Amino acid sequence: MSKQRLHPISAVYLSLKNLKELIVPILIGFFAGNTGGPPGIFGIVVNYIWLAIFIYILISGIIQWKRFVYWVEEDELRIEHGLFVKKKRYIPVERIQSLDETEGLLHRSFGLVLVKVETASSGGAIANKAEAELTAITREQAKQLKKELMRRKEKIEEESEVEVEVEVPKPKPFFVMNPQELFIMASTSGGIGIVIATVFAFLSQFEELIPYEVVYERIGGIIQSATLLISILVLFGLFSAWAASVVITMFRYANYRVTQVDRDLIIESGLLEKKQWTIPMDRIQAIRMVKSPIRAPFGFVTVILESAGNVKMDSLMPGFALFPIVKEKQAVELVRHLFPQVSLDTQVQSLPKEVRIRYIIRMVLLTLIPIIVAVSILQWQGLWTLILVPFAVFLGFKQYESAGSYIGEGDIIVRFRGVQEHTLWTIRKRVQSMKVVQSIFQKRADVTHLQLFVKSGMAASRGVVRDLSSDRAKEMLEWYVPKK
Amino acid sequence: MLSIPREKISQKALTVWRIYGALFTLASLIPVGVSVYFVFWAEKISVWFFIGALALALVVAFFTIYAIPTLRYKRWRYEIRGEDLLIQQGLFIKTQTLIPLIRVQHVDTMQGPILRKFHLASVEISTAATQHEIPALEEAEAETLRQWISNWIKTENRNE
Repeated sequence: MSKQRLHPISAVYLSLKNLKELIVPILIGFFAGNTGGPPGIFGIVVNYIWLAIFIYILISGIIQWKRFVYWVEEDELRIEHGLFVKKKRYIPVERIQSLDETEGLLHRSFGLVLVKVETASSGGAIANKAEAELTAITREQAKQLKKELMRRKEKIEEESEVEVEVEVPKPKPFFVMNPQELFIMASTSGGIGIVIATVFAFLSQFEELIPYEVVYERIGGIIQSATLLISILVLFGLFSAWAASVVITMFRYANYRVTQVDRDLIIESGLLEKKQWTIPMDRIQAIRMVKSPIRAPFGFVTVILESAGNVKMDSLMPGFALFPIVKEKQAVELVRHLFPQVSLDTQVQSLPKEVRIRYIIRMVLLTLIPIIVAVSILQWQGLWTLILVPFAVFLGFKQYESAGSYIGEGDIIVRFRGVQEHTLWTIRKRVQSMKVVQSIFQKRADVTHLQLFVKSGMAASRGVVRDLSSDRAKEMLEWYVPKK
Repeated sequence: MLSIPREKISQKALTVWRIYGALFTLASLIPVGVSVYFVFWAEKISVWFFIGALALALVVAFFTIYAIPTLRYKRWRYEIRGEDLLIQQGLFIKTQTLIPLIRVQHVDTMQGPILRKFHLASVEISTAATQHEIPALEEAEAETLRQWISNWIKTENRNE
């Protein structure tokens, strides 16, 4: 493969990147030096420094682009680049996990892609970002590179004759999110629960805080209409914020599809900015099914993949949403189709009735803090916060209902609820450590919390069952570290 | 839950933790002292307020210098049991962590100025997802443990 260049548009991107790195000192310099302009020779020097910085930012990108070459040679992806110092980075083909493509707006208008080269992290403690980034190359180049790398990879892996590559048509996606699902997902994501809660709190606040009758007698309806106006404005503000988040989410998850190619899952999504991720199935650590209280009544769940590696899909979600929104039945079927050994609908062993009260008390105790604060500030008027208690009891009850565990041959399931119910499926090999946590009170009741940790991205993801009987916890620990 | 691990950490850990506690008490005393001083002069409040603040400081000192380190030291245990490492800690909430040696990715020893003075080191064990620390072991002991786990991983990898 000959030495390849990036597309010239990269110069713009690289310049912007350099600007971003310099932005803080520039701003400081700008505000510090803007005290009416320094006089005389000093002022001229300062102006020249500004000019130099400006030129540097302009030219640095161009130089970086000119210096950047990549090619594949001797089973390595080789990259040479550098502004002042020549840097060489040779990545062995077998260490390359995947190439992820992203398209910004600029990219799309020129038919280009940004390619991130993901490698198997060598287990270092330092979070290495994508090992290499090709800022902008043509689709053709990207295809070529992929082909080239695949060819070498297979040669290394099989040490056998390489068949001539034939253009394989891309298999059909096995999961596509339809517009209706997209809308339901966007309108129920995150914000709405908080919005509703805020509105309630807000309205009840006014009922309590403003003695309407007194006000009404004194200054007629002025205050009342003012509060009404403010409430309407706030409501409108909240609604707009929510609507904006809906639109953003819809753009981001439009055309969401998942395709399986050999042992890789390819996820594509986005309307304006198309994104594509490749997740090698062998790197998946755990599968998590999440039921949120808002979506569950409609029968929708989210399925998340916890995968090792350092690609983030969405800052709002942990791990990778395999199916951002899907009917529960379909979710179970699709996951089983992908991973025959996984049954997300396995019956988990619930907890004994005796611990139900512990779940409820734990939640009620949580509400004590806001209640005490409210009462100490507002005296008896603060007592309206007691409305939190029945909610807490209800949530505790639901948490108890959700909690449970299943121990299989090599696999394990823990189910637990914060506000959303999580069902976490994983295998022994993927559990990094287990923890039992027992307070003095739990010791008396012979129950314990059990936590297990799996790798997710560059961090850990936790599964937890609270107030498990000690015997069951022992079973799980023995499943984890079998007695020899 | 699980059997109690056998190994205790170094006896000197007690001294080190007491030093930490003393430093903490001092650090928290400064703002208290300053505010008491100003309140005292501005408000002309009773001397009892001053005495109360002092009593509070003594209570903090008692806990951070005496009670907590003593209990913590008593509870802190670890043990390598065949193919896994078990760590136990916690005063009123007992935590036992089970880490199969196969999952260990690397082991570091660390030493701050105070630990170095006492010839102690702490050992940090990292899996792919989690970090676990055994604080305040004798230098030699920490080194041995680090070596032992590293070797165990190497031989295990070769056998796979």
